Amino acid sequence: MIEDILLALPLAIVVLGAIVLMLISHFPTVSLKKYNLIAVFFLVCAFILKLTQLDDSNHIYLFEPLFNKMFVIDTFSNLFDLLFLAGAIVTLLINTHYFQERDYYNGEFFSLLLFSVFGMMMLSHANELVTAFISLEIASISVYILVGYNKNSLKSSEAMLTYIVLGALSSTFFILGTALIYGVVGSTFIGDIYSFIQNNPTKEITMLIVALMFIMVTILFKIGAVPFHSWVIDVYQGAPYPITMFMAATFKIAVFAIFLRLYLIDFTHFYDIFSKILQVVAVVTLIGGSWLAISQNNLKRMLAGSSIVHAGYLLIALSSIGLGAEFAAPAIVFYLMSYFLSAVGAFGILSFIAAQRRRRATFDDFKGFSQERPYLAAMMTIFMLSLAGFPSTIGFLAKFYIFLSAIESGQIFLAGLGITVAFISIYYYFKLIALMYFYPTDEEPKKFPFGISSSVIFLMALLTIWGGVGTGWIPFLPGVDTLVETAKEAINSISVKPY
Amino acid sequence: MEHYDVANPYFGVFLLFVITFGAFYATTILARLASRALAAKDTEKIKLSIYECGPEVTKQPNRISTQFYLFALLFLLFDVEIVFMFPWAINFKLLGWFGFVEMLMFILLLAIGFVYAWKKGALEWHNIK
Amino acid sequence: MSTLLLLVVFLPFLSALVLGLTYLFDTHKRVNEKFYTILGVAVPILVTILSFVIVLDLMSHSSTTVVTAVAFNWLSIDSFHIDLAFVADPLSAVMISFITFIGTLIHIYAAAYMSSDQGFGKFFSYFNLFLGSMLLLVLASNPIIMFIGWELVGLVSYLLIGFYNKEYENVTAANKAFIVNRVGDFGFIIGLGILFVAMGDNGFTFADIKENIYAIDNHTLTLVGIFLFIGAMGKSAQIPLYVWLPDAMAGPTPVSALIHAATMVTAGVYMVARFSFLYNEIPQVGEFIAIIGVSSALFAAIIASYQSDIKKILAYSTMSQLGYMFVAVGLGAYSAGIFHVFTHAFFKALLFMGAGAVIIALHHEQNIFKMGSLKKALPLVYITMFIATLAISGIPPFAGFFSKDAILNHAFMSEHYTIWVLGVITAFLTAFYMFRMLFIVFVADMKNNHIEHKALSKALTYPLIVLAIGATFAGFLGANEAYGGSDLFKSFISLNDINYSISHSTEYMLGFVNVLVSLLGVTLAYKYFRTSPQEPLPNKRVRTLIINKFYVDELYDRLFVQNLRSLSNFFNKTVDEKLIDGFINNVVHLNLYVASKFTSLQNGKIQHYSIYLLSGVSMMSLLLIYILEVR
Repeated sequence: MIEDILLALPLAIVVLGAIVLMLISHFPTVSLKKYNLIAVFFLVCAFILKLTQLDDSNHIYLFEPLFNKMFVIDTFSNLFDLLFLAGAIVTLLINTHYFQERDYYNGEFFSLLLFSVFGMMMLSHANELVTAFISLEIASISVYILVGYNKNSLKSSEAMLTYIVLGALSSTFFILGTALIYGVVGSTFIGDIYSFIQNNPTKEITMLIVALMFIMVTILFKIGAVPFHSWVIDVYQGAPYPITMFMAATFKIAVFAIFLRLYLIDFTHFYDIFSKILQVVAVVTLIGGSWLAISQNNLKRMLAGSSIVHAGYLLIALSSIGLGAEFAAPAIVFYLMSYFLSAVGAFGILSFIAAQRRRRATFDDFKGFSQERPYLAAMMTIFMLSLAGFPSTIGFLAKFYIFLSAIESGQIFLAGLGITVAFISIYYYFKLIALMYFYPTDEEPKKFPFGISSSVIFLMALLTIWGGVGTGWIPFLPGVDTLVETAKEAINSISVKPY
Repeated sequence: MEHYDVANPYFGVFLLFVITFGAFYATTILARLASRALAAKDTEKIKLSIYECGPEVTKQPNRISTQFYLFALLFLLFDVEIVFMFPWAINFKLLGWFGFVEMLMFILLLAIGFVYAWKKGALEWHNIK
Repeated sequence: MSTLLLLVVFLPFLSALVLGLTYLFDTHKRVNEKFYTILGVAVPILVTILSFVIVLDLMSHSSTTVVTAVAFNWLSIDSFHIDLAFVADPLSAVMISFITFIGTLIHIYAAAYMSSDQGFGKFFSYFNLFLGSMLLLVLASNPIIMFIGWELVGLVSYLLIGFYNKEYENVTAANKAFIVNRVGDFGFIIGLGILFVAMGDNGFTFADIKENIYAIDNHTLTLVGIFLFIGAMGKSAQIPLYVWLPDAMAGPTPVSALIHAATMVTAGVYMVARFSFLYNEIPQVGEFIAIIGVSSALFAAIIASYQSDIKKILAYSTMSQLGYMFVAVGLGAYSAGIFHVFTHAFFKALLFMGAGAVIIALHHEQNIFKMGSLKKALPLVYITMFIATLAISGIPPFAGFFSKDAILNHAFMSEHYTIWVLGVITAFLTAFYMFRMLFIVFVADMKNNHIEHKALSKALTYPLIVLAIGATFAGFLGANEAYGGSDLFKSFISLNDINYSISHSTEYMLGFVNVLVSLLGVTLAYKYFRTSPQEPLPNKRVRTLIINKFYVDELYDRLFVQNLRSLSNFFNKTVDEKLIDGFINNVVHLNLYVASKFTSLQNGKIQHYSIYLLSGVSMMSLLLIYILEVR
């Protein structure tokens, strides 16, 4: 019991932080900076605590007498918890500047963000479908509110409405799927479903396949795969920068946390079916996402479009899992980490600039940016290169692993398409680089603004490069190998299961 | 590929689902196309004005304040929470201290929400901060 | 000892890096020239000492001893390894000893020559890099590392020839040197590639190649030999790839001295000597090399006789002497060839530095017909230049006599009489044009000589004295028995020479012929140019031909440059713009068009969005039904 409490402590800290922030948000004397610090404090506490628990390789059910097997703690969930916490911390730190320049932020914002992180952490621990659904909704509803946090902005409110309606619509499929599964299996525990499938001939449980497909619909919606992508661009654009960043980098990882767990366990016997579906979805996602991205004029919308493309790469890896690519699942985790670094950096720079001065939204606003702010432009270039998958950045390695697993599983066509799409992506990523570097500007050159935001962005840029080149060059510093190893361990921790 | 059995009773639901959507689409798209093609594009002022069963549009004398919805929401929330307490009260002896602590925590969480709503001024008319 | 060897190679690179970085970051020119001078000169001195230590160490052991040093594993593919390793055997040890020694003298000289130049630091950085690259080339333990040095030498020569890059001509000259060298390098790397494939799994160091050379069939070896020699042609300025050498005079004079005496041009000869075991297997290629060598020698000597630019005369004389060296290595007299490289380094460095001193003294005047009677003004330069001229003309007992004699003797004894005759004619021409230059510059009384002379600093003149001593006595190191020596040089470097026994009487006879023709040349020069020389005017057809260097440059321009240019234009204007760009642009436009259609679905209406969502669900369901093949 005591051990369980210790393991649950990071979750508790986050929720406690959320409550504290909620309560003190009434005191007018507390400044925004303090809210931010408090939020970061709680998150960092949870992060450090979680870091010490990362290597708990044994499979523990949290408060088993109470919750039965609803919550599981293994390396996989711990790793994802760390990612969420890191994502939230980085998001808050990068936007320190941005929060202060906007008048609509207050304590509840941070409270909601922490609630959302709490939901995501629950999600990664969830070992039961209803729990997963509730966790997903805790995270989602917090994000819905956050998307529309700027009540005075029409775009923001519209984005919130779009997101909430469509999100609710898609969530129904999850519930529908869960209900069907309960109808067939008589239980909603992931392990029970697995053993049920194992003990019954595939032919007789067609309904289960249908149910799993409905659950997949919700997941595909959340990661923004075509044809469930329609909300992505509008919501990303309408949401405030911090939330766009949070959704693109962190929330997406959370969705994969539950999906990978489900896919690696419950889908095991239906891989031949779902790989086909995923292949089709991956193809349309890659192509559709690319089309969306290349035709955007607004940078935020372009990044939204490109995030659809990135979801497409992840789908390639997902379908490879089923076709016997051994390394595909760790590749997904690694890709998520790499995308997290680059996307957070790119959105961070956008929000940083947006906080500083007049709105820079379209590509044209970035003409000659390198002369005005050479260091920021250089960092933006790094992130763009990484997103495009340019060698010597972490994005390259991530893509490389994905394509490798696709080829390993014999999906030559998908790998080829992925590479083609990566080439197309050079168009919209390098467009920004070209605009920044090859055009003159009237603006005066500005000094590098030292501060929390810019240093965190700098750190992200450094990590992006480090992840691309640094493998054991400097002792005591973890390189890519360590990340990949951790990802493998995490995947192993769910595959080796005592069901 | 082996053939899957359709004998499962739920499969009909699924098929229905698919077919409904198909039909839904067909009708929607047809309707849209038809209305677009057939509708007279008349943009008189009267036509664009709000239709209120004939009489001229007037200002609503008894509009309901948004505050009302907030009250209703809060009421619903706390009222529904009471529902959890009935089974607990019936099984109080069976659950013992464990149940008691559980319920205390539940009430504590409710209380936090309540305090928040109160402080926010949600319980006072026209006084949201 | 191996640590010393590593230091020999890495020190110049290190100092080049330090100098280069200092120069780059010193944008306000705060760093004193002294810093560059001290660092830039100290390192060569140190390296010289180190290489002498290595040579002495090798001398004290038996001839098969070598010093090896492995810096690190550079490339490792399966069981195949390429180390960045260095070998100092007698051959390379001799090479590095005189490269570093003469290089050092040129460095000291350059410190004075280049003083108060804007790019002083840059110059010394390049100079050290040049030295380092050459040492890398010479000491490399396998052909691949050698090729790296080979390429670096080419690169640095490009940088140095175009050192005054504000002027268009210099840049053109640098480009020319680089491009012509690339042609050679291309041959070199093809040769290496064939050799690499032929070697298979047997490793690729020189030692490995030497051991396994018998396993490779003769045709392959011939190919390898020819392609490697094409590389040597480029670096060592032989027909037909010599055209860059005269133009390379665009660089500052110390650069010319370094290129011609210590580094770069000797690389080709060294490479052939290094592959001596290979060329011994293919005497027919050796003969070809010798023919190319002797024709280059003669050709250059003819052109040199009609040149009026002091540096160009020296440039052609280098080409001519390199021809001798190739005759030697081609006919299997590798040690004689290397010996000539060795002696040539002394007197050629001396000649260039003397010429540089003259040029400085006359405020950058290079036309010999505008000089004259500098004997009194620059006595020291005159004496040292005189010694050097005697040496290059092959007058005993100066250094050039012994080496040239050894080469010509070998040609005679191996019954290549045509080559011998041409060699002797070249010797005559050499004496003629060298003394012609000497007389015109220092002795002849010119009417137009009224330029004020600039005083020369000690750093400019003292190296001349050291080199003059070398040019006088270096020959004795390799004097054979007939001349009272004991073939020290040959027995030390112990290459796989093809030896012929030669009687002393024949030896004396041949030596006498050499001296005689040289003296004839001197006399001729004395007769025509002692008193009042005339600048040669292109008034006769043959003379026009020679003065214009047989129109080779123009021929190359017509044959290669213009055709290539029109081909490039075709690719640039037609293939690239129309075909490739057109195709790509069309694809892009198509995509953009489709994308804009697709994006127009994003109209912001929730009801439409939900329709998309639900249609997605039904499509997925249909797909599932299809996959399940439900009946």
